[in-house]
Amino acid sequence: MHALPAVSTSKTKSRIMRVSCFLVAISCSGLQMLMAGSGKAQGLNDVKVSLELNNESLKTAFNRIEKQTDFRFAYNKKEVDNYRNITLPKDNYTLQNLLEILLGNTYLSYRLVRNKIIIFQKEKEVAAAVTSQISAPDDGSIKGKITNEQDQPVVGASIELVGQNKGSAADNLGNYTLPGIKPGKYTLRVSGIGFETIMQDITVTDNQVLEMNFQLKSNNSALDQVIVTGYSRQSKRDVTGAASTVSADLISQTPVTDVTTALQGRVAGVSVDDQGGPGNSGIIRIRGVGSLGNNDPLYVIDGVQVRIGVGNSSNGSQNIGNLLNPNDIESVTILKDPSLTALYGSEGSNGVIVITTKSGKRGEPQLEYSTYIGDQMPSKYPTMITPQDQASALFKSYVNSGQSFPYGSFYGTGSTPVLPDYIIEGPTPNTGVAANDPAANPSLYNFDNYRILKANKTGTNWWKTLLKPAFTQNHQVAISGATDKSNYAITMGYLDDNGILLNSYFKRISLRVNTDFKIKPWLRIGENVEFSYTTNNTINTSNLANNQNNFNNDITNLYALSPLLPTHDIAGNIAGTGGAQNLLGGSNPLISRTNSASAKSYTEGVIGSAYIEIEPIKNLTFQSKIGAQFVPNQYHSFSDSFPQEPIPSHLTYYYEGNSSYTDWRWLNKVAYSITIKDIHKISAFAAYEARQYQSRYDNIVMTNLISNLPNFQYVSAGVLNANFPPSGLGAVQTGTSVFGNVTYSLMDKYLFSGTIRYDGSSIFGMNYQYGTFPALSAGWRVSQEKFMEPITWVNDLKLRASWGKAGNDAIPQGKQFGLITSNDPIYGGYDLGGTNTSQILGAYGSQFGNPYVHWETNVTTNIGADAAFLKNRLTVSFNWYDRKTEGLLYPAPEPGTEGAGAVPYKNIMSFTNKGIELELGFRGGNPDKFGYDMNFNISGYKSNVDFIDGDSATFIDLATFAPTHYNLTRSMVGHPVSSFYGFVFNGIYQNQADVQNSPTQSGIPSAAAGVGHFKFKDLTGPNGGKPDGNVGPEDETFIGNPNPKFSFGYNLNLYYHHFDVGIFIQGVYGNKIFNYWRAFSQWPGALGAGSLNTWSPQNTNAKLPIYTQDGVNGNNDALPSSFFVEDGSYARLKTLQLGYTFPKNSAFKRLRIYVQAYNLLTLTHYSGLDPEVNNGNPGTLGVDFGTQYPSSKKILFGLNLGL
Amino acid sequence: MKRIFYFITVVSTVITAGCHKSFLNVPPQGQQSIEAYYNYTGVQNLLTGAYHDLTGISTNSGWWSTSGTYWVYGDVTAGDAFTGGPNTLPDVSTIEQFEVSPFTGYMDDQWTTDYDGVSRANNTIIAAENATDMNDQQRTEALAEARFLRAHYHFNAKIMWKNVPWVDETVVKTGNYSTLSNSVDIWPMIEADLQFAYDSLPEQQSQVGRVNKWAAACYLAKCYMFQAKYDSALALLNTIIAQGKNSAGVAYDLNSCFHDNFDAATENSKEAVFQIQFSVDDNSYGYNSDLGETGNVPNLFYGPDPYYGYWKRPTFNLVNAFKTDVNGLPMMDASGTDTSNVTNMTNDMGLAGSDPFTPYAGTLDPRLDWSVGRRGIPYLDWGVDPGQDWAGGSSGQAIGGPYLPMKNVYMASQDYGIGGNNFYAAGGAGSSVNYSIIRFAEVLLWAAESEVEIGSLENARALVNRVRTRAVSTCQVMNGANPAANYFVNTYATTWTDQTFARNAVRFESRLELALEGHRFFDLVRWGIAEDYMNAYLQTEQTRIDHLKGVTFKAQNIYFPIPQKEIGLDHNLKQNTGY
Repeated sequence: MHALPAVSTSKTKSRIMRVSCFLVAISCSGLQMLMAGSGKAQGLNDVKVSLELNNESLKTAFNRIEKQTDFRFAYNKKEVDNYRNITLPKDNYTLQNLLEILLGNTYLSYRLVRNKIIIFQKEKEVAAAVTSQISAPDDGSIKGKITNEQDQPVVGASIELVGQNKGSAADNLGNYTLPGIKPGKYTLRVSGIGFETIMQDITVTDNQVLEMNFQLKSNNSALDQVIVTGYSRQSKRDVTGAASTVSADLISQTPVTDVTTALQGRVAGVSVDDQGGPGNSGIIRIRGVGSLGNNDPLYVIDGVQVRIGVGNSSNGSQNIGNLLNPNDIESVTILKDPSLTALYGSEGSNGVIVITTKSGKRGEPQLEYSTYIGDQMPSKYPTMITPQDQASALFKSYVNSGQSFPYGSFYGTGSTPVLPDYIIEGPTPNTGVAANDPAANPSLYNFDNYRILKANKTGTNWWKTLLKPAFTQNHQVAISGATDKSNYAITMGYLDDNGILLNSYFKRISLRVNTDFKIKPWLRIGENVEFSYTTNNTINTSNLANNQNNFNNDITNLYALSPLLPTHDIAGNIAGTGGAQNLLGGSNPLISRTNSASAKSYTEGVIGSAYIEIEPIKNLTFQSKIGAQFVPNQYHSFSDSFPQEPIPSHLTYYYEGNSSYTDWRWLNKVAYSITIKDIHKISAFAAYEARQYQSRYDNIVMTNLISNLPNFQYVSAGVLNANFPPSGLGAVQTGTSVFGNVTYSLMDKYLFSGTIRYDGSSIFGMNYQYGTFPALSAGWRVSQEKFMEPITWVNDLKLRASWGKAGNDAIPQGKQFGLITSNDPIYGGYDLGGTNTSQILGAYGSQFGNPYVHWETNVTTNIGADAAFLKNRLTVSFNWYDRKTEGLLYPAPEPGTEGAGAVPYKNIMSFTNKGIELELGFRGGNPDKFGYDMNFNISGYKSNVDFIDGDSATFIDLATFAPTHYNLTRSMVGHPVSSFYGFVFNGIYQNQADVQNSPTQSGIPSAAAGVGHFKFKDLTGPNGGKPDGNVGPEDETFIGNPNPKFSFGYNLNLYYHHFDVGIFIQGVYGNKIFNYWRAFSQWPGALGAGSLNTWSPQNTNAKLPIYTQDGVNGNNDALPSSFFVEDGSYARLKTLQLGYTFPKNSAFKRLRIYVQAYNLLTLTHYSGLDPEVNNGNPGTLGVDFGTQYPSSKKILFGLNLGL
Repeated sequence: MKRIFYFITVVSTVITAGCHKSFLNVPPQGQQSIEAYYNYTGVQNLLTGAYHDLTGISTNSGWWSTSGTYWVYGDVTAGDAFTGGPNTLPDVSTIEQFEVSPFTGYMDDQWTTDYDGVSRANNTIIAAENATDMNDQQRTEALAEARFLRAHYHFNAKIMWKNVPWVDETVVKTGNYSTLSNSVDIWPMIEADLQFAYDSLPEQQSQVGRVNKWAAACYLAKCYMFQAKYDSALALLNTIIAQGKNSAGVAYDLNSCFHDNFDAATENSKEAVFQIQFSVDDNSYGYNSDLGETGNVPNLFYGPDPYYGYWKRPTFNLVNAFKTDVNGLPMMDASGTDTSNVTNMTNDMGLAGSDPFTPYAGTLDPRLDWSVGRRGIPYLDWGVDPGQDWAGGSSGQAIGGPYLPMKNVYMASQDYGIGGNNFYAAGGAGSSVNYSIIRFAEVLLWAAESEVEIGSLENARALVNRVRTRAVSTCQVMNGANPAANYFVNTYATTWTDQTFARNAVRFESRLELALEGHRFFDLVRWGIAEDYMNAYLQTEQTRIDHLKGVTFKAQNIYFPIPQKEIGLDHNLKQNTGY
């Protein structure tokens, strides 16, 4: 419902009219607000009339209303007969609405007395005043007010008669006048920047003053967005903090399975790293990394806070994609600024993502169906090395080292390696044999100890074997509607997202029910709940840093496996690699992916809230709200008797793990608002909240299952193996908060807001549980000032500043305690009795506590401006911020002299992110013919460590480069957090003279700096000072900043008649990536793609060092160095979409079809598979472990149908 | 008005209801703080945990880096063992090639594990001091066991790094770990703990795995030996030899069969002074087994596995040392200089299993074939060593040489493993064969050494001969009814008159007796001969094995570098000279 043809003939409207207009406006906007309205208007508004007028008189209309209702009309026939006949489309009207329409073109008004509607003529002078505005006696005119959903004027909104070259714009009060309109039929177009355009057919009669009021519905990127904080709603115009909103339209433009990825590139200051893979949520960071612990923002879904990974002892089940179907989202608001996030105190320090789900809109029930289907495919296949090249490189590495080639039994003992025809795999090391060799006789084949593989001399492309196009589909049905006293929205979704990696998928069935009821004028209740059931199977991407250098990940295996190995042996069994010592590293991922087909993970997410709100006296409301999450997960997997091993153990394993996460919170809030003399607007609230997170898990492994069939995959079908004891633990975390907020607006020009929050958290030691988090902000709406009136091209300008402090307690629970693990069979027991086969259980200190650990705080200063120019066609929003993290919580390494327990969290460091953010929106053209709108955002920040607790360390090293155990990232005062740290690569030694004339390399793992190997810069001496002619550990330095200089997003939508085209480009610039995986994929031991350009006397311009068998420790090439640091900038055509909307039709309200490409094109210099490398670990920011699920392209066809 | 009343009532009830402070005091889930251990049961629990770290496997440990048997730091560094090339355990190679740096990961593993043992002992001490239900005797014995263990873990650190901090229960109470200094010599503290244990512990323990009075005495003597306090050592050693008993109350003596010291069936014998009680199939996932020697077995255990079986391989030099001369004595010249390495013993290096090979026919000390596996000789009860196949094929043999370690390997008949091939059980990985941190033979050789330095050369000869007598009469490796090789060994029959000769003879004996038991490197260092000895060894040995080419032992290598990570965390720690 867009247009609101309210009717009045007077400037001084009757009270009835004002109230009723207001009410309608409120209902339209869906504002959840109580109004103790007038009884009269109430009655008229409650009565529904079904009416169709076909050039009929007012009198007839009144008669027909009387037939349908108990109301009776009283009027002066003469006055009523003066007016023309009316045509009105058939519809259900409320009586009030109908009267407004019927009397809208008249000088008549009405009054309700009991059940009588008295029609009377307005005062003469009013009529005269109106008449005087009419320019020519014969011409009609149109006037009215254009407001937004909050009933506030839309300054500068334009209104024009289509094709008549006649138009106007709304003034500061939202009023407009279109005089001198000749009688006739016209189409009115009302538009405003940031609002949906309204097209309305009208008929103007002689001398008629047609009053048409319009309420514009906002779309994205405008100042008149509603900022929903979960505790309150405000127009962005009045907001004094930094916030950005993304609408459902934009979210639905990106075919993703969870909200994080949909936000990528949409908002300045919000970065998202797509993790790829079905069901994997993106890594979202608001204004950069702010903590070394949990950096995930707080999600507020319909007022229920959801903290990802907090209070959770078992990772994985609590994933925003498991809780929320992105298609249910109405809008997302991102609160970046302390004056807004401070409301969330301890939970909002990483920013807040406020999600509002769809609710019913006033009117008839609506049924909507939307779907997309399509394919996704790998966006890049690396090139594989050929088997012959691999063998030659390996061979040469031995020659280069002066060693004999040890794989003679495989590649022959000649002067060059010869690829075998068959590979024999058995209890002894594999051998390679020629086709005519008796050992390759298929009759010898024995699965248990003699497998014969036909060598794939042309090369197996493991990438293409394991990564294939996959089908994806998504369906959504929504039913919604609303009446005056209730509204409802029910949505059902089904997603089937198959990953490009064999047997990986994410499926979700979701059901959401949102309802609100106005029981009494002073009593409302409501609820919203989403149930989702997800199943998924993907590679494990959590804790990658812990297993980064092992070939135990399906993706790393793709790099590592020899192409000579076939996928299957001659008997059709999957080729084993367990004994493939002559084939370098890796194990056949077909095995793990095939085994993985029986691994199932089910998550049932229930998230919801219910509230009751009463308004005991006018303007004072009390709300009590309970929000809850319940997220159980079941995982089970079955592993056949390790068919890949050369000697099968014949032991089958069945793993079953259960975890659950529950969270409840109870909020009680008192709010009061008052407007004094239309000048002072004050609103305030105070609230108390208590919350608890609880999680637990248990795991069990059974062996020797009765059968391998899926129907025997239960605990009872196996035997408990003493070597796999069951395990289980849980976590409990509680918090309390008292908080309040006051906002004050003076003459709508000067805006002030203050918040204070007092939080308690069970995370900290007894004496450090509470923290106080204040915030203040102020805004000045410059455009409201008198002196701005002449500057008509500025439609709105607001300057704002804010300061605030937020807390962070997002560390695992129980860390304040020193803990002893008792009766531990693994690390605590000992065979005191000397029995050889039994032990006495013992205890040991497993965790060092820190009772002094306290809140990590974020103190942010934000200065910004919001403005609209050129009739609101151009909107600009700007922020500068300084965000200081103090008392950063980090499990800082403890001296080894304390023992081997888990280290305690300490408040160890301070650092600052300073940044700017700019968002631009522009709308132009003519939507009927050719229209366009675009949004652009750009943001950048600088990170700098200010302080590190000297007692613990002068720096913090956060990641280790496995080949040489050297640290890879370091946080140190004066440098960005978690910068790359290592040696400065200075080329390759070309000859012996070069070696002799260069600094030596003793003191780092190998003294054997040699020809063909890496040369490093000698920067300093052992204790600082001048370069000492030797490269040692002291010559490590900062070799790259993983933080981008800026990130950007650009969105362009073009409309031409019924066609629309959308383009969305997103990218980052100026960040560095540490290509960690290169050391494994391009060095001997795991020769991967692109690894042949090695140094030799004949190839002195090589990219890679000489291959030798000195191993990673025998030379210094595998030290962390700038060699591995690459430019990580990229620009990505994220979505490209073409749509067609069918003209309106009696069969449907809306029908649109579209085709969409996702991740179509990426521009980058980065040599790895994908430049989006961040896995969420702040210590390994920008480190590409090569373990991530490969990114995919998607091509989709979609349809939206509204009935 | 009524509504307002209700409203205020509801609000105030709600707010006060949630304000209980205890709501925020959530106890740790599923685990306890130390206060829960202030009782007899708790102290015993902690004490058992303190013993556990003898295995070398604590929560932050690696398997090999922290092996309780010290083969990485004691054998690979000492010319007794090779390690299998750079691609298998890179840090072990780094250590073997004397390129170890403060950044070598194994350094911090070992440091942390040593001090984890210290921390567990200290926790036991704190709990014992605070326990309310223990009588004086119980408390003293618990304190004494804990202090013994604390001394042991400090001792390990002391001999590795020389300059190490002392951590006792007072440090635990203050928590000042980041300002500890390593400039104070901790020998007096180690000795004080051991003296207390010697004074307080009973002679006999209810459980053989617990240390007793005499174990403490022996350890104290070991400390004296490492400080060259020969007079204190000799007096104490004489008392031990006369009166000492093992924890089961049996008087110390040498086992008649040398191999009984390396057999799970005969552990905790009369020769056992202080052993790590390894166990398997005990629900520990193998973490109470000898995980630190995992993979130090013939390749037959794993099949064609590219990783296992290369890491600890006896050197040619060590095997040559077991050759005996015409008198059945070690091959030395008149000054006691080792001549055994001049000619390399016949071996199957470079030979495939199918190539013909005849084992060395010269005379040998029978202890060789209980210490080292070699082609043609039965390897425990696993069968006759077939050569290259068990040595990892041609490549494995080329990297690690033809010989296999044996002392930590369990017998086929003692394979307790589930399914016969279970990684976590005996079969395959960790063994349950105990490792002797101190055994009585070594105690006798300390006494002999002390006699050489400050006492009677003849007493020394008698002590060495006591050890050799057992070698003469020990059960031998048999091939069917006959000895598997030409074993001929005898005692020193001639009077010792030359101190240098006597010193060398004692040192030679200790090499043969204690071969591959993790002591050698530390002995070379305390004798002050490590640099010369190792460079001489390397000069010859690098002609036999490729990866030793260009390797030299540098002066600073007599101690290991203090891990850089620890210096970063505690600025009062000073790095050892040369690193």
